[in-house]
Amino acid sequence: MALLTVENLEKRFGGLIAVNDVSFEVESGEIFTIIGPNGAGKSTLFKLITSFTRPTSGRVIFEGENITRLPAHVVARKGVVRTFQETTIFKEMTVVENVIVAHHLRSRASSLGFFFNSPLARRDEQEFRESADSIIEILGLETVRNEQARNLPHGYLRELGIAIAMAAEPKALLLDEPFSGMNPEETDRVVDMVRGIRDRGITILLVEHDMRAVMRISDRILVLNFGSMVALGTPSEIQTDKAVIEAYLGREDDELGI
Amino acid sequence: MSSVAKGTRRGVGAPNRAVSIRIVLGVFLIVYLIVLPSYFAESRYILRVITTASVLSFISLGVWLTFTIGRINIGQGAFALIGGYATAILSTKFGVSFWVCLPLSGLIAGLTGIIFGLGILRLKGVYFAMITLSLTEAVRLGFLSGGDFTGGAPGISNIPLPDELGLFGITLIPDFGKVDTHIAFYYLAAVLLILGLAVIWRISSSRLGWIFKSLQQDEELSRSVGINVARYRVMAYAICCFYGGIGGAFFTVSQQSIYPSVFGVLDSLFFILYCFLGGLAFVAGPIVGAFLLFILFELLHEFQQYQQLIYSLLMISIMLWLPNGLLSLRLPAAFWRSRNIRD
Ligand SMILES: Nc1ncnc2c1ncn2[C@@H]1O[C@H](COP(=O)(O)OP(=O)(O)OP(=O)(O)O)[C@@H](O)[C@H]1O
Ligand SMILES: [Mg+2]
Repeated sequence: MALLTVENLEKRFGGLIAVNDVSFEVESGEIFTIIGPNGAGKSTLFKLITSFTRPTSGRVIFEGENITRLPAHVVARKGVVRTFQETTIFKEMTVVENVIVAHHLRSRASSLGFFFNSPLARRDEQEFRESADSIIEILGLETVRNEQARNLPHGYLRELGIAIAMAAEPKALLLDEPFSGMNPEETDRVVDMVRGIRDRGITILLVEHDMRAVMRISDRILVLNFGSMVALGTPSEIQTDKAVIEAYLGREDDELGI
Repeated sequence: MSSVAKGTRRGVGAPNRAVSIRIVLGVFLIVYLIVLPSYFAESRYILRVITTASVLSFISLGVWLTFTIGRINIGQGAFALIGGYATAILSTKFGVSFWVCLPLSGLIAGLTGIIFGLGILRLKGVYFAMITLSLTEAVRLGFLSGGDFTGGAPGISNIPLPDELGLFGITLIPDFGKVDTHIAFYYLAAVLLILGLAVIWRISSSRLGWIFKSLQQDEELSRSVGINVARYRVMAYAICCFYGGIGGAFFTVSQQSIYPSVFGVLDSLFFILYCFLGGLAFVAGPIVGAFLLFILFELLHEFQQYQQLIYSLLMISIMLWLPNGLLSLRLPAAFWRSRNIRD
């Protein structure tokens, strides 16, 4: 059974159909990438899957359960966690504080437990701190561990965003343009990082414009244009697909990595 | 998570700082609980000013907490009014003891806060500020037109003083009518403020405080990692309203009366200003702000006609030149900080 199933998902904003009858399945352990021109509906699709916005129609099934109309924080608790296209971090906290606070869904203590600093709350804190340190280590953020997040160099911001999402122990991690604004070396590093995350058993859904990275990293690729599915297949299938080349017509050829 | 901060920020001198914090706190407590009330035992006016400043501080602590979730709350007057009327009605119409009325008033205000909060906390920024401001006015009008139940414009008077509170024949708190009433209210206010500060202090340095801080900085991001945003922001708001209700109950019983205009929009704004003046980054901010402004207000009483003008100019100056409040001026910065405090 597929880990995540998207069934006939549709989202309208007034007259505009941002996502139009999109269906696909993502297998556990896959790196599944969604590409498409600006405004194709990629981010909207991510917001639909994570319940940040409600679909006009269609369903999202995760681990056999219909999660379509659950509140976003509940969907996150089930293991479907997204990052944001725009830089989104807790600016007035240090890097490690960002990651620790993001562990919240793992806490077993109640609000009163936090207040009275119960043994359970203390154990939670201890665990979160250790887990945060290991996430920071895996993502190579040790050097900026105690930096105030708002002072971070640009290259680290996306990684911090991923670290925050990792703290929520996702089963499926949805990364919205994690390589944007990066130079080739930085991209290579984050590509390795995303592979590393997948190798830890986390299924990756990726939205990305950097075709060189996409073709290297993806197991399968979904192409969207004006909200509709244009093609779905392996990188080599996508690179030679006529409809895809059509959708990207007028763009530089090398953008598709062809 | 305060312990995270401990691990990363503690310097060589930290243990000394912890000791000096205790000493400073101890001195404050001795002055507040012993020196002031005995020195001013005969000057009721001054006692009353400090008592009032204490309870205004207490109410403002709630407003401060809503600042930590990133909301400017100009509705605290409404909840002081709700708490006040709860005590007035329960004690005069149902003969309930003040010691039951006091927590009940807080709870009623807190519950009302949950009901309102579920709706209005969806709003942010100036929209939230405006709707809470309207709430103050709406609640005032509600009590004004409450008929016999709320007593209309003149409100409810002849509210009994707090009676004796005993347990198994042992008097815990004496009947306020049989002791020096001013001293009794002074201590009631002092105890409320100390407890109130301790609770807010604890909240803001525990994980709850970090969750509130995360909401302040980005609710969407908090939601994305599974934090029940609606629940925690309502929690912060309900605690705030609870503080408002308790404060309102205190004023009602100490004035022995209540009427709809006791707490209005201006009072709601003052609670905000106390927080600003003291500094939003500091738990003690609202207390410093309330004491300073309220005492200044009393001093300026002589210049009644200029009072509002001076007040306004002062506030503008603070916002322009001291945006982080008075407490940002003092040197041992770590002392007042909401986090870090238990190092
Ligand atoms: N909240 C909204 N209200 C109205 N229209 C919206 C809203 N969000 C997105 N849209 C529209 O839906 C379409 C798809 O937007 P979306 O952000 O999903 O595109 P995208 O594929 O992520 O583009 P990009 O590559 O630029 O990030 C766009 O035309 C956008 O203007
Ligand atoms: Mg997008």
